[in-house]
Amino acid sequence: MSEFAPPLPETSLARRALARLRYYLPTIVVALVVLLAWELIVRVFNIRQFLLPKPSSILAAFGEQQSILLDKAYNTLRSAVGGFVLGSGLGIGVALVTARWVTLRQAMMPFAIAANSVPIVAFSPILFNWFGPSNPFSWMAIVAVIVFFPVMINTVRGLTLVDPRALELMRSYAADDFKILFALRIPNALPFVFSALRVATVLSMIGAVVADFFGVERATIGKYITQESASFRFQNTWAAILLVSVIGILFYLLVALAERMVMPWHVSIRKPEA
Amino acid sequence: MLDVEARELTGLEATRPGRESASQRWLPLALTVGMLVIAASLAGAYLARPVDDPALVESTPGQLVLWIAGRRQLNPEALLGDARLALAIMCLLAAGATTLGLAALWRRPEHSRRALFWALAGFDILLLNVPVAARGWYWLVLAALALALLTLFVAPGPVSRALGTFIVISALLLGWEVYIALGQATGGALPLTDFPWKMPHWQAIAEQLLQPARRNGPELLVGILAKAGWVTWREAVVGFLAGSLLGFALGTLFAHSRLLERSLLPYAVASQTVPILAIAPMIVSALGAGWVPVAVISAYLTFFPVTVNTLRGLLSPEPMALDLMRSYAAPPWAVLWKLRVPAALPYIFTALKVSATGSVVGAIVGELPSSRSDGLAAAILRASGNYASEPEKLWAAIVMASLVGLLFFAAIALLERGVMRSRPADES
Amino acid sequence: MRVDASTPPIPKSDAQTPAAPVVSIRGVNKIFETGGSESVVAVQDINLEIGANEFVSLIGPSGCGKSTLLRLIADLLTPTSGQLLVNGKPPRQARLGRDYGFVFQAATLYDWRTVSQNVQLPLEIMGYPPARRAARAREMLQLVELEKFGRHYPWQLSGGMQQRVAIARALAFEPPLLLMDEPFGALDEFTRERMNMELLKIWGKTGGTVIFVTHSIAEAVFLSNRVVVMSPRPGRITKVVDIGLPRPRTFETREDPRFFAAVTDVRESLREAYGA
Repeated sequence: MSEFAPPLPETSLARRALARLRYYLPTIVVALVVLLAWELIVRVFNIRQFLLPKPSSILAAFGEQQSILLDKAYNTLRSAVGGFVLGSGLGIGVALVTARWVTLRQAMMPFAIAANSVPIVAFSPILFNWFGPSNPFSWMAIVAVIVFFPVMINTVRGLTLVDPRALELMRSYAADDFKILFALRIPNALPFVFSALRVATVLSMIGAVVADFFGVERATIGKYITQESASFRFQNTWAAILLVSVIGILFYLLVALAERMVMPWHVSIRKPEA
Repeated sequence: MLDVEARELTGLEATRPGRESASQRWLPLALTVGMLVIAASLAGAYLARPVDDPALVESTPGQLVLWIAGRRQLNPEALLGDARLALAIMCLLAAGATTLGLAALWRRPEHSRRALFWALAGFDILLLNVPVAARGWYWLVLAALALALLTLFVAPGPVSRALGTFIVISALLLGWEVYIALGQATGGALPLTDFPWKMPHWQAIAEQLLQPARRNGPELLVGILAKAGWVTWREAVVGFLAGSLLGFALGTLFAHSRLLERSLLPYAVASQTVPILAIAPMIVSALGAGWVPVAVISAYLTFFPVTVNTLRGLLSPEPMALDLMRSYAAPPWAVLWKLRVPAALPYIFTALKVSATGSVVGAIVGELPSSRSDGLAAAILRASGNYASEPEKLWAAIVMASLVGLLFFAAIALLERGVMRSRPADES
Repeated sequence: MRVDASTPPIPKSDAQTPAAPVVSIRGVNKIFETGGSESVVAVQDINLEIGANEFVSLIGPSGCGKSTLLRLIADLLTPTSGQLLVNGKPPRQARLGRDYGFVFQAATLYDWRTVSQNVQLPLEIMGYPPARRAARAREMLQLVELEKFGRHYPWQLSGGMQQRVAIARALAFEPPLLLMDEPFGALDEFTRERMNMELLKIWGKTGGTVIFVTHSIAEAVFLSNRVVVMSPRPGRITKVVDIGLPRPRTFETREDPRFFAAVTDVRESLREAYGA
């Protein structure tokens, strides 16, 4: 009911943590059930674990290869983060410059769509050719290309989809365009930017791994995946894939945390659980 | 509401009434006259030259007819004459379009930008046809293109979305060529200009498309790429349909059961954090060669946006609309079918558009390990293998891949317009 | 005649409530638990009876529970305690039996349906055959004088017109009871006065009972037989004011001294409610 504004909950950190755990319980249960079932089915029916090894072997592989995996993953992560920063920076910069002209923004849409249709596998040869197949900048360039368009488009939306009444208020203060930009448009754009950045984190990890496949540098997780697949050691392949996924999720959570710190006003407006 | 936005933000486009100063008129007029002069003289130049002039032989139509002559054992000279005529007509058409633009500027300035669109298109076409080897003429075309862009900048009249996109494309084409020229002038000092195969000329790319894919082979590259695009697109469509159906099902399921949403949605999200290229070989091994694993991978990249948006859309009706249904004691299926689903359609279409491009990417990625030799992935791989010797082929393959994605997107957008015809316009 | 309802549990005005009330509310309370440690008492100890063919308004400041009370009657909320009967049945039965029509604050028409299809919505759900649905929709649109707009879409109509469509929709299946939650709140004063006249005209043709929530004193007095004044924190009935103005009521009624007297009555009751 809109008539009654709920009071803010005053609960301790422990209680909130517990509530969080209760919330995620079904998720955890599903994971455990699936893993258990998978393990049991493979053992009981003695299925040849060719492509999909049982969880225990994957875990064992992870334990055994731990240092190698983490080492290579770190290299790939560096490229991912570098490209993420590059691509997002460019995306936000271009958005700031072009937000002024509505038609330009609309004109960029077909490019964004076209760019999204081209898989990394197509333009990574070009980028490797341009910057050199073992130059770390090539990796960052590849990731930057993937990250650029979503970030730019969302930033432009955030800068331009401003409540007209808020704009009118600024005009009534005789604020010039720069003041409006800093005091109104940029804060308005932050939620949009962060939502794009969150998507970009996962994209950059994936992009870096794909770039690994085509690059010449051996100490990367992508190359590790290919070589372990080629040697039919699929438990190692899966351990690496899962590691990549986990790192991507952690990167995502990091940005989500940053979002909370930068925009506490926005994130804490939570609708009460109906 | 967004009219205020448009008014606030159109710096370039707004026709400012009353600022019809003298310079406002004569500048675009002068520029257009310049364009006209260039187009006319190019037409004349082509008509005046003999058929063995390198400016004709090296041009895109020139190379095309030479190949035809070779295949069909015909006399090249006669066909070159046709090519020359074609080029002259192209120049004349550009000149004609420029004249229309001139007339618009003189008589109806508010339509001038729209009219100049065709002139811009004309010069873009010339850029793709006049060979780089014909130095002077090539520079003239670049100059005309620059003039066209400049004129569009200063001419009055509104800029439509299509025109805007075209301007950006033309500006990119022009910028690319100018950068190459600058690179050559500075002896390769600028980044990416040290080797000619790093940045091929656009005319070379266009020419490669109209050349045989294999030396003196029967098929033009554009034909092979189009066929490859068709093959890939078919796989993408199957994956798109399967992924969308899965997405609808999951979204509907999650909308009705918070428990299922909480248990399973995180895994759907996690599934998208895995690099599909790593898993693709395993899927291919499991499902065999052929289009099935490709469609599966394509569906993998499709289902997630559809799931999330279907969920959001189904949950989007406001509480009052739900109360209305309650007051009718409507059974759950009626609430779903008569309220939630129609309310969800805008969201679903947004996801379908994103998934259209995603499914194409998935199809290409899926083809890679399955070594399908007739899809776009194979074309891309072949082209990238030869990048240093024939860079244009890879660019051509990339253009085809984006075209397939774009066309699929446009098809869905068209479908959306048809289905949502009756709804109020929503700018998003 | 004003009836003071401060003590007796079931306030009745003399000649107007027949034996079988359409809505009977006894000792009803509604408490909202809001997730934290506090809870909000939306309405407390409500006692009210509404007879057939009455037009009753609920009026009060925000937070007095008038919308909550309406929703309790409609079975869109369940009472924490107390007894509530609609047409002699519990509200849930009444809802399942489609005994009432509800008009919301916003027209809540569906964008993707034409005006006529919107009016047909309840009829579709209740299983009327297509021909009968279409005919009924036409009748209802005639009733609200929008028969020319059947093929239009809601967003092509003005706010007032949309609400008329919502009323047509609510009446489509001829419910004996009509519940209206500030339906004209979003309209400007002139449109609102016109809509009030329209509503009375429609009510004159269809008959039935109407429970009308509003925060406009003039509107409540103009439309109703009785005005139930409520006060907030916790929501409860302060007074029930009998409106003795004769029917049919016209634009002139608004200039009648008795109208002003009744308005003053209600206003003073409201002020008392605030003070309480």
